Amino acid sequence: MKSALLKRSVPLVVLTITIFLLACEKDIFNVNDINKDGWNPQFALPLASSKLTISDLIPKNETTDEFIVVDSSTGAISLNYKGDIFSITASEVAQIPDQTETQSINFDLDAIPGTGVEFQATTTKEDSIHYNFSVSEGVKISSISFTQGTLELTIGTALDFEADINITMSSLLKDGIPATLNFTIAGDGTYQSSTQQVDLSDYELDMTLGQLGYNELIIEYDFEFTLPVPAEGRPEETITIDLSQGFNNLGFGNIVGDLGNQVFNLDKDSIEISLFENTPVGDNFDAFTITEPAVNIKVLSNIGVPLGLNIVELNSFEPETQTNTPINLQSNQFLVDAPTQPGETKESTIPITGDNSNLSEVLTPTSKVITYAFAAELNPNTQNNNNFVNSDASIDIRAEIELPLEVGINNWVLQDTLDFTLSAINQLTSANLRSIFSNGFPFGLNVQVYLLDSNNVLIDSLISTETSLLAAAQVVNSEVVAPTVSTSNIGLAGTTLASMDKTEKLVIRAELSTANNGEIIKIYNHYELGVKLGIVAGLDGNSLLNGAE
Amino acid sequence: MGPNKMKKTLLLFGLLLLGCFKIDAQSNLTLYQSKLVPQSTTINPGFIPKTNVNIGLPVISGISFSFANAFSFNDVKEGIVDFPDRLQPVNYLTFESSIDLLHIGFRVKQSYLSLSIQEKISAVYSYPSDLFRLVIDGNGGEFLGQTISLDGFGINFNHYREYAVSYARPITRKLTIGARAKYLYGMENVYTEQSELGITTIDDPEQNYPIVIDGKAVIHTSGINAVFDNRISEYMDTLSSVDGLINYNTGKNNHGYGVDIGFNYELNKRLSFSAAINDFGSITWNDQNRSLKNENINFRFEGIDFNEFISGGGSDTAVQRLLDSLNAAFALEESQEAYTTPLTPKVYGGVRFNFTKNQAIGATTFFQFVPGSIRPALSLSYEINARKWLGFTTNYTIMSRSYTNLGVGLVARVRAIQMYLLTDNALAVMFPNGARNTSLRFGFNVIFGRKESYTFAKIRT
Repeated sequence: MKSALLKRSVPLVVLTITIFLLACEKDIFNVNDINKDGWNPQFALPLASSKLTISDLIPKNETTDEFIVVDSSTGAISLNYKGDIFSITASEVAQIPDQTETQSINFDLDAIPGTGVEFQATTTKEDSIHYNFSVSEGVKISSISFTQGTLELTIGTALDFEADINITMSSLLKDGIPATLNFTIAGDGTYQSSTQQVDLSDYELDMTLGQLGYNELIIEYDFEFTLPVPAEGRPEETITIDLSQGFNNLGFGNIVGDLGNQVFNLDKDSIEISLFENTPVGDNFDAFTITEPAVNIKVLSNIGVPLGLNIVELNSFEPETQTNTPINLQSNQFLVDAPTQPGETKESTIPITGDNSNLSEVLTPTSKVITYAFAAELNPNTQNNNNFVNSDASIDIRAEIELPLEVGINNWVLQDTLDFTLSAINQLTSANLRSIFSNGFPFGLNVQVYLLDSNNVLIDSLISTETSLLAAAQVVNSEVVAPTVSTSNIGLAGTTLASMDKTEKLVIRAELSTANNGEIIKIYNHYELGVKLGIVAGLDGNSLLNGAE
Repeated sequence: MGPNKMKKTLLLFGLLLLGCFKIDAQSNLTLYQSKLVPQSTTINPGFIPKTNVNIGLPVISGISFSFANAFSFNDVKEGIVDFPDRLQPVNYLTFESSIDLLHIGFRVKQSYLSLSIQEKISAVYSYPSDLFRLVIDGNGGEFLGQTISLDGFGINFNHYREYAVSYARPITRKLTIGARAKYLYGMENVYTEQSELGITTIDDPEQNYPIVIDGKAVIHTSGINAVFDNRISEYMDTLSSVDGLINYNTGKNNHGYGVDIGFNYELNKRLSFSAAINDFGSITWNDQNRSLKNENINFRFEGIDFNEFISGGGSDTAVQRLLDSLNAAFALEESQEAYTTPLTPKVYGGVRFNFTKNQAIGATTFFQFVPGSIRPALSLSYEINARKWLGFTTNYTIMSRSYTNLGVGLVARVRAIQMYLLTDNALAVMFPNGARNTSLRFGFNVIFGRKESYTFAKIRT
């Protein structure tokens, strides 16, 4: 028995090992083999938790086009929109063109001191000439200080004897010293010319020394020459000297004088009121009141020139319907004060309000754009002005829209269309979006979200009824006394999720009202909106695992 | 939290997450039952081999690997939804390996004395079943308002060298007892002393499902500063020098002691009983320690703050703010304190029946004591000494709630050279999808023995 058992043992073991090897699994750790029936995990996630004030949403930074201004004493807020700046620069106000002028000096030798054989071999003649500075009509310059430029003087003559010509310009001073130039003419009977330049940097040109008292340059010259002693006595001869001056590449530091009456027609411009941009065309509010809106035209000038501002055009514009509604003014001409001394900057505001226009009636949510055009007139009403302008000075004109957030709104409709694709939507089996708003603002909000397909055809909506997502805060005597907490659960499942898979656009439509059906209420900076969002999403485990492969 | 501290935190939790890929402890049931292999005395010091002198060839005399997990792939395959129900609240994945650097055993009259040096590495990862429930059920279903318990998440990694002296002698004609004293030289260690982590998604109609994470963690490490400091290549360079190697193998101030005891009682020539208690002891770690502790982890997430986007920071800033908050909540206090880790005690009990002089059947129970739980196993075995040069062992084991463990052992001898190959679960090779555990032990011995060394008992058949 023993030996038989032992004899059978070895083949048995070999057979067992063979069977084991043949029985080896071929499909090892294949994720597809996992039974995933009923695997629908649900994940809850807090999405957001924030407390928002108006300051969080809209910057206080006035360098942006849209900003808020908070009254530091009351905390009241106004919403402001800025237009572009129109700048009238010093170089536009005071244009100094290059100058070129030639004058001839003629004098007889007879006029030179000495007579007959007593005629001196070397003698002098002094005189001056006036050049007129060429500027625009009506401009009367008293003085210019140059930062750059060149004065070029050319002496031309056909003397047949040697001459020295010394030029002095007592009206062109640098550090109180007049500009001087010295020419020497060899004199061989042919016409010769000589040119010299003055670098005008830091020179000041006084143009009041002439007869006019403005726009004149005085050049004094000293003519010294040597004649051979004539045997026959004093020659009877008239000497002609051409004196040409050219001012080139001029740049001024400042100009004093009368810059004359000039008109600048500024380009038409517009300001978009983004607060209203999502207001649809049509029946978009039941009541809408903004207390004391204003279009403020702000002028900032450091040019010593009185300014007249003419409002050529001021309209409310609805881009979609291309509708213009004029904002009618009692007067469209305004005078702006000028700085009284160099270095001073004058800031002026021309307010267009309900007091001097129909702005309050015109400004509604359909006023998505305000268009305007201005004309600026220098020295509008006066003669003999005492203007001054520095080269870096300018007159800056900008329009601003100021909407004090003291409003009464009833059912103001806001609507926006967004492109929408959610590639992982088929992995969702359900979703429940929870929103908890602690609303410290006196606004209430009803929202609906519509789903559109690629042909903009409505296929579904997300919210079964127009739910009040956000109830207005409790208001007593036009002030918020307590926030209102609104909790909403928006459930998405089944057909709605299937619709979202086909959705290519979302239309979000909301209706906004102030508390108590449109009561006029002031918004303060300390009002706060608490937002908490969370979601419970059911996922299709099967697609999750397949997606992981 | 600085970048280094953040890195340590991530590393720490990375180590914890490694628990998902763990392996189970070595039970050595097949070795326990294989009387023909001298190394069975390392499982029960009360065993005395039949051979007189046993010399394990350095390094190759015994190399073993084992792994076990709380679930197999088939457990997942059967149904992913119910899969977590098949797990315990805290589960273990264990990997163990040992290499006999030296093994010498010989009879001294009736007694048996052996000396051994073994290199041992073990890694036990523990993971809670709620981790899988979180993935499979999500936190928004039945867990909403409940706390997902990730308590017990941890890793215990141990690398040490065991120097052992074992002595066994018959007390009576039937009873043999033995004991092994062990000096333990610690090299690297990660020890999760405390790991509690709860994730609660608050279910309150007035809130937006905020998530609260709380807990505490105390984790000790030794000898892995290079990993923390990202200086592994420099550390390996140090080990490549003679001085560095000597210091690594002898210079660490991590010492421990352990003891194994066992007995074998032969009621008669056919029936015997045995039992052993192994790995009672501990190692105190003093060298290159770094302990990380946070006894008040507390983090609440209520969603991102819109202001991050409004202020122009965008999602990057919001995510960074969230990470900063997490880093702050999970910030770990660091210290270099000494600490002591226990060994993992194991208890074996067996009964054996030699129904011929070359064939035996037996039953063995096994208990492993890991912190917080006991892992039992039961094995039924059959052993045959088919030829003087060839023996087989096979067994069926129930372990880790796994019922498909077929152990196989092969022992062959060519003159004085013995080769053995043992596994506790051969089916794992053929049916890996269903395997929760397996092991492999093999080696070569030089043995000198009596003629009857290849018989189990002097039984007339």
